[in-house]
Amino acid sequence: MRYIVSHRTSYRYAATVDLAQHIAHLRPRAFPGQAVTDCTLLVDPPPNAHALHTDHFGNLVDSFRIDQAHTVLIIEMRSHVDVALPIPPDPDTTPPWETVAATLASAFPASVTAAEFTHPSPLVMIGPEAAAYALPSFPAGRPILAGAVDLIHRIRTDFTYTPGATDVSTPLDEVFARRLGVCQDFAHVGIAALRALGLAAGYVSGYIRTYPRAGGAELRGADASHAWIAVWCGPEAGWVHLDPTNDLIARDEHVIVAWGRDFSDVSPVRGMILGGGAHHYGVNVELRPMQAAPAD
Amino acid sequence: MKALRTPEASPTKGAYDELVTGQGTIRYHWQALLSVVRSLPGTGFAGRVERARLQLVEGGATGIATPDGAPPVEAWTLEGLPLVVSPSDWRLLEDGLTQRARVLDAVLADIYGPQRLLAERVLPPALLHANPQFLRPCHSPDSSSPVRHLVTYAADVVHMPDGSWAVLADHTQAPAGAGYALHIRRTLARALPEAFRAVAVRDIGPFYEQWQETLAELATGGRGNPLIALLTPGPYAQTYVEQVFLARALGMTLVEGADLTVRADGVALKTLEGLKHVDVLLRRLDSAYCDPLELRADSTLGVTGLLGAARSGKVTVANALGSGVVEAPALAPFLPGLARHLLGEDLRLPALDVWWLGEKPALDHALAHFDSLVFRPAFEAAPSGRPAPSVPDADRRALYDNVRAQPSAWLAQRRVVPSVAPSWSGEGLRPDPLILRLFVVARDGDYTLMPGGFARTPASDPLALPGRLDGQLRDIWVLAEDDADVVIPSSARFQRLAVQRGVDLQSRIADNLFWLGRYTERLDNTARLTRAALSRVALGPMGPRDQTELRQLTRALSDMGLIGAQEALAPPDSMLLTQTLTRFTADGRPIAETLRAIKRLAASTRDRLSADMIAALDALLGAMNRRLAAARGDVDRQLAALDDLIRFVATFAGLSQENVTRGAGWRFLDIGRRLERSHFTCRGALSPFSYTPLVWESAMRLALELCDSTITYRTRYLGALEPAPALDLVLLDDSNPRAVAFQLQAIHHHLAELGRTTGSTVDFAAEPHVGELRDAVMMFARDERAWRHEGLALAQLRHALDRLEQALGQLSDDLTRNYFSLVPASRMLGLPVV
Repeated sequence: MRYIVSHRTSYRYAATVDLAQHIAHLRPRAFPGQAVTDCTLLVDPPPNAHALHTDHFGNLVDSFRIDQAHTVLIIEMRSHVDVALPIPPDPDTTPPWETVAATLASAFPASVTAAEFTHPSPLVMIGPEAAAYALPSFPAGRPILAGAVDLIHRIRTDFTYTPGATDVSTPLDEVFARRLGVCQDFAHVGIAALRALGLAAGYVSGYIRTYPRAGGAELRGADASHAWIAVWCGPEAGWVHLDPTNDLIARDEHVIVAWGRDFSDVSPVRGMILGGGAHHYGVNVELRPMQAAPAD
Repeated sequence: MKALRTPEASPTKGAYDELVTGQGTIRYHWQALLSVVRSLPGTGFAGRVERARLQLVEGGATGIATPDGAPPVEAWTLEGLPLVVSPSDWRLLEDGLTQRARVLDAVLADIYGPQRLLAERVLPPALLHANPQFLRPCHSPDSSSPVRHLVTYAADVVHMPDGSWAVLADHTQAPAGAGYALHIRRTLARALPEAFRAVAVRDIGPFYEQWQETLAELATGGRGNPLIALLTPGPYAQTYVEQVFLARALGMTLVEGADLTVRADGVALKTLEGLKHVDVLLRRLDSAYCDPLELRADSTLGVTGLLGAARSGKVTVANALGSGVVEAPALAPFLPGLARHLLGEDLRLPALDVWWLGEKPALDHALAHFDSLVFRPAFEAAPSGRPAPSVPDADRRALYDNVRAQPSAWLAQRRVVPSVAPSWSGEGLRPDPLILRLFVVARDGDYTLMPGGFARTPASDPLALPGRLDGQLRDIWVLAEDDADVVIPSSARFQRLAVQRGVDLQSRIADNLFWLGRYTERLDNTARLTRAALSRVALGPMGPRDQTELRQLTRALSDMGLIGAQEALAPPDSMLLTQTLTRFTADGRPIAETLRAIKRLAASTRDRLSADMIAALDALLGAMNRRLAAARGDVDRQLAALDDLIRFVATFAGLSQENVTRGAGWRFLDIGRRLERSHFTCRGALSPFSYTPLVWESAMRLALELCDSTITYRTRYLGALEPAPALDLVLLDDSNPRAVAFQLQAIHHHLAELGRTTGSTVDFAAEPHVGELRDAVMMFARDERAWRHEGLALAQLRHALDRLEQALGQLSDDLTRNYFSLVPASRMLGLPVV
């Protein structure tokens, strides 16, 4: 599936910002099953310095600095993205989860990349509640993907999707306690549960298609940045993308922007500003198929 | 010389003895030193060392500043006997540590670049991925720039029982201690000149010159006069004093994060002359704190955007950001393999017997020998590891379970027994365990080892907290082999040193010096006012004149916010008033707040003040503070303490006149002082002139007393009190250093000089104010009836004082706007997701 993706972020400040430095994870990256073309990122007012680099996880990072006084900042990304994530294997044919965990626990694991995603990370500390939550989905010998699919189904069932109930600073144990949150919290819950078993799970940030599916329910998380998880299912099956917020396996309705250990590695926009007072932000995301776009 | 006693069953049992051979004879390379020590005249060696220790303490070398209240903590003491190292031993260390620096630098280049070591199964990925010092934002996977990651490296080294050397800890983050090393050497050179003449000790001075050259070569722009600065976490860092020493030794500016700002073309230092491009930062701030934008967002010590500037090559940070990752003790067992893989060499300094338990065989072995091993966290550079045998049973079970649950987070090692060398104690010589701190710096594509350093006898368990610089420190004397060790500085080096002379004054330091001047003067003013009131209380039963004056003084104290309005109205002989005046220094009172502010400012301007000024301030803040507190409630002791306080401030002020070069920093200190003094005269000393009913004689007498001008007046006018001469003396007499006109003229002169040197001008016209004051005083010079009853002169005086006060407030604001606040602090902005 080919999409035109656009993501427009605007900040309106009550007082003048004299100086601003931002870093942004906004450009969709290439990924197995995803190709990116014609990506542009426009910033207004025009930055005095602007650099693009690839980070530790292979994501694209824009960093820019604005020296002139401003009260409005607009960051707009546009890109063409082709997505067709690999067809996941039949969950029941994937290796037992203990086998995958043992592979990852070795001093020299089969996949260096996957091994990194077994460790705790800044926003995903692994406590006993994560392990306790994971276990019902992972009885002994269960194929890893079958267990992961069951896990995200349970997250979708047990946790209430409540925009505004949490923010980026809400700690994970509070999410576990209150059983509510948004996509970011759902992803962190899933990641903590999988890592508690010694499995590898990453946080994927991106977008989900913004129009209703034929005959299907509207997807959640479509009006802004979305987040889901990638779980490593052994050397053969590799990474499979699971969306706990919508209880589905990502195939061609999710566009990947960046991935990392948790939200803190891929925060869409971060900045330090001088002045500004109170601020309001607005986010507008569009993900439209290039052919056969439905009439608006 | 008394024999060494080696107590049975001590932690040093079986240790290598640096001084004595197994046959009980003194090792050859110690003999020259010992014969000098024995032959010293008078109080001998002990007396010399005692004086050296005193010098170190008084110079603040051993102290750590503490925020708020508490006196400085003495972190370490000097052991006078150095550790003598033979040339052959030194060669082993030199080869071993320079090689180790090359290995660690190559590991860093790989870790923060292509990461081939992980794919090629040389380094277990967990050593990186679970390592909190691996800073992912510093990793540039597609960067091929040949960055020198490790510029400075320090190692903690022990001499093992078999005479071999082993590295206990690697310091790659921001190695500390080189500033102490030079300071200890200089102190000892003064204390024991005979020893340095008799023993061929290698000089460590050239090492610092090489260090300077290396840093200058790291400057990216290829400019002739690079600006190199030492980035410090600030005055409350454990090794701040050491950083001040090092900045001096390397001739560089000591800067805090708040002094720097990132601009389009790189990093700039905020100075009085504007923004100055910074080429190289010698970093003493831990990497994670260096950039709140990309690293720890909660850091207030860093520079927003520093990592981006370093990534794009616009500034060189040394050591490179993220370099702390190879400090992890878990790396040690892999170093032999890394040396072979990266350099094709065998590791010359053998690793300690240490195993990372992330590997199954190592774990099985460690659990099998659990009771005889030491367990340490794998990634803590300063481990809290304890030998299993010394852990109580309940904790041992917990330790065992922790290791079992997460083996990759643990290391096991055999207990290390460091060598012992003699320390000088009251009864003679005592063998003390030693950990050597040695320093390496990049040089001409390789590394060079400082031919010296210091050895440490930790205050507690020798193997706990190897990162802390506490306990006893002693110089390390490396014996010269031949004349080749004598380094003659090249002419190129002299040229470079000549162009580095200009040290820019940071805006922050100027700001702090200005307020240091204001607050020390404020302390003096407050003390004078209190003393004046208290001395009248001390007289006992008061006549009407004293009562009136006391009433005016308490009112002035109350007007200045120094005592409460109720207390000011208390009867002159009441307990309440006595209590108020003698508890003036209690916490929360203005004088305690002023002392606290002085302490903070003194800490952050320390490297700009002379040693004597620092000593005066330390005395003020330490001994004085305690004395004032102890004297609370006692009129006579409080008076004596206030006298001393005034004298200490006078000492500080005198030293600032005599011991500080007339640079911009001194001008700001002096402007602050003079501004505050003018303010006090207008508002405090002359305030009785605005009280009703106005008691003329008292107002005049108090003005002279508080402006320390009574004696001058008496000798000039023989005691007849009249307002015109009295006011002339405290306001206009430009030969009186306490007169307002004197202050204003000095301020005017400073501002003109600052405008000339910095190119940035603050206007302050003293003359109109002096003119208005003169007009007022002239009116008082007419016949008595006119000034005493008509009130015109008084109105003119009050008007002139009010206008002057406003102008002084404006001046303070203008100085701040113009010189101090180039770029204020910024704040964090995020974006939510759904």
